[in-house]
Amino acid sequence: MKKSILILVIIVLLLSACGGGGSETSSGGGGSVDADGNVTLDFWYALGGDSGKAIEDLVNQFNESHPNIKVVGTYQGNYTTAMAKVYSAITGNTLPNVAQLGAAPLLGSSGAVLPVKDFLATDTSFDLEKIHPAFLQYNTAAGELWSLPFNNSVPILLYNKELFVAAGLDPEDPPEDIDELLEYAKALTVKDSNGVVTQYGLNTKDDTHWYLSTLFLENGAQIVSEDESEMLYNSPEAVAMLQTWSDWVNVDQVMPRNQHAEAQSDFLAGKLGMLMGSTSGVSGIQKDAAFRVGSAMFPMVNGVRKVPVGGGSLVIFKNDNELIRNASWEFVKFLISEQSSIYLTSQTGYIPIYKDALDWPEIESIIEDNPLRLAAINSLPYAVAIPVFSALGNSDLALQNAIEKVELGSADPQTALDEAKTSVDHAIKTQFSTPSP
Amino acid sequence: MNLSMLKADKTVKQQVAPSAKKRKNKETFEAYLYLLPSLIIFTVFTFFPAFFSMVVSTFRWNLPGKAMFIGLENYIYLFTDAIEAPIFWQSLGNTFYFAVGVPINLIISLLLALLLNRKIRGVGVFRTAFFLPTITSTAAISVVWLWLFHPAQYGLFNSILISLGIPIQSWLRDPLLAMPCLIAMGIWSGMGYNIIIFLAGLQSIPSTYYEAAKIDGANTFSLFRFITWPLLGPTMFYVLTVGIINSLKAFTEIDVMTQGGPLNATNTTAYYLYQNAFQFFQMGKASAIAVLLFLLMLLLTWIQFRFVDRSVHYE
Repeated sequence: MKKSILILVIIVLLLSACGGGGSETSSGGGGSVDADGNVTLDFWYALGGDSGKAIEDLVNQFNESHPNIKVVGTYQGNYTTAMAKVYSAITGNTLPNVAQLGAAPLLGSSGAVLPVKDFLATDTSFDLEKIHPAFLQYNTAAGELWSLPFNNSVPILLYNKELFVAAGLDPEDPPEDIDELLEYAKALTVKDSNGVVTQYGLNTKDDTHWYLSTLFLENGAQIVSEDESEMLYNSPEAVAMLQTWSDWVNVDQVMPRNQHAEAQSDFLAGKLGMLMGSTSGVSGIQKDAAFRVGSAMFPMVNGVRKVPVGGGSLVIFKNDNELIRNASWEFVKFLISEQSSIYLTSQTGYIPIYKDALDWPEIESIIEDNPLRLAAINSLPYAVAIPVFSALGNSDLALQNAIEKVELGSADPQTALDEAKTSVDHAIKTQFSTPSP
Repeated sequence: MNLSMLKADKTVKQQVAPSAKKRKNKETFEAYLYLLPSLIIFTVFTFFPAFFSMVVSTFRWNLPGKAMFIGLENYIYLFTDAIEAPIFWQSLGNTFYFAVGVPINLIISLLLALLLNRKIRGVGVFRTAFFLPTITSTAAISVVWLWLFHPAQYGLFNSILISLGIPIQSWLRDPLLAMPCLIAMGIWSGMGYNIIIFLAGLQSIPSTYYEAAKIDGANTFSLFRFITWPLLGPTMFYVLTVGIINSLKAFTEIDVMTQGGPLNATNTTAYYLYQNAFQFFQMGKASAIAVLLFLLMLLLTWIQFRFVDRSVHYE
């Protein structure tokens, strides 16, 4: 009896070990090269829907124009899921060759990614200078460029033109700064005879930290210190912005209390005047809305406009085979090329990444075809980057919690931001720095 | 019985024993062979990961960085850290709060099962209707209930409140109401399964008991109190144990409906574990939370077996 259990355990262990070891075909990364030097690359991406389709189109275009390289693209779920898969692939040594991911430069510290400079050293055909610097900063961690920008978005203001008309506002003249924003929001807020609000003027989507961070930056506040060891968003400039936000909810009552998860559906239902969202969601909203949608650049604060970029980037994983490495670089170069950037901009809500893209006739014709894209693409010169650091996930959540606290009245803006700063600083100190031996 | 007979008996035994043992061994081996596929799957997907997370819980491992052995520091941190510990304790409190739904669910399910056990017209339709939520995915249910709980005046529950002249509520967006809302939804969606188990339990009680009791003049309440209730004990015990375990690991509805908010009011230990693992990518700390959650389930199940099981009558 005991013996047979032992035998069984051994069988099971052997079988489970085979599963791991047997699948390894090439050492040091995925991809393969056949006898004629044809390369097959594994490519993981994290965009579904129309954006995912645009990526598949680009992969097909690449495969058609590069007979020696075959890219096999696989959708890996959203940014969070895809990153979790990459992390487990690092441990299991089952990485692809190229991946499109959010917060990609954080992978630099894993040792699994090749820095961009390795490729630029031998390839002079690609000029980094042409890319808007905000996108390069967005892909830099600890001073090293680990990834390259691919699909990028910025925060934007969407509005319901029919509700503008009903409120006596000019639908072609959206608010320019947060003072005007409040005026417009007041005009768009409708109450019934009992004083219950039936239509709100303003709301933001549920990634609230992004819109608050935008206001911080525009008001001259900093997010994180230069050495990324402490958060700086409890400064007077930042507190003033959270106070403004709090007033929208608690004083002016133009924004519903803690209902950001419902914001987009409310907007689509015609119950919300203006929505702070991402440029990446514009085409979806346009498709689903039964009314004329307007778009404007994110409102300024005291005449300053700064929009922190979001979105995904491309990384190349280490590989022992030079042919595979070079093919990966070719593929990445193709995906971030001017033509691909134009294609992605035309098919999705993402914005071009090149400094002079606003002068390109192709971009002009995209805007002509769909004026809703104008505000998004015009935001390009105002793009800035929030540093990418290890505790970014903690920081985003801490800011969302701070917003929740002031909206629900459980803390004033100063206290809420002090608490956010303290908790993230604490996490950096106790969890993300190497412990003393 | 004389000596020779005993001897003969012994020799027969000796002759039979080895071959029987052999056959038994062979049977055992075959049985394990049949079990092998599920054992492999169990080992690879359950046993190994569970063991692995116990190991990981003794490391500081913030992805994508390298793991570093720190002993029990993750556990100490969770229980004593000035900032982390209050959130962890709150998550444990929320977990127990959410589990309040289990006994309520039990009572409602039992009452409905008693009704559905009667010979009434269209009982099949009712049984199907109550069971439907069980075969619907939690994610789909959550999306529908999000709409029912919509905080604006056009949410379904708010429309009802308005027609009754009651001020509208924020439901899931209100720190005080969010958890009761989740519990209410959990009761509705978990009821069907419990009812089916109770029905099976009720129908396994022989009708002769009831007939005999009726002849002795027992009323409806006595029938329930002295026949149904004690004989339903094992079923009740099963439903309670499984219900509590499921409630402790509830995740989907929280992820879809509240993300642990507002103000951490619905941040249960299972969700807190997910946040640490897949939002902060702090695998060591997340694993420590997982191990603690496992120990909590183990303890609760043990308590139930130790104390509740005693009062259960097995027929």
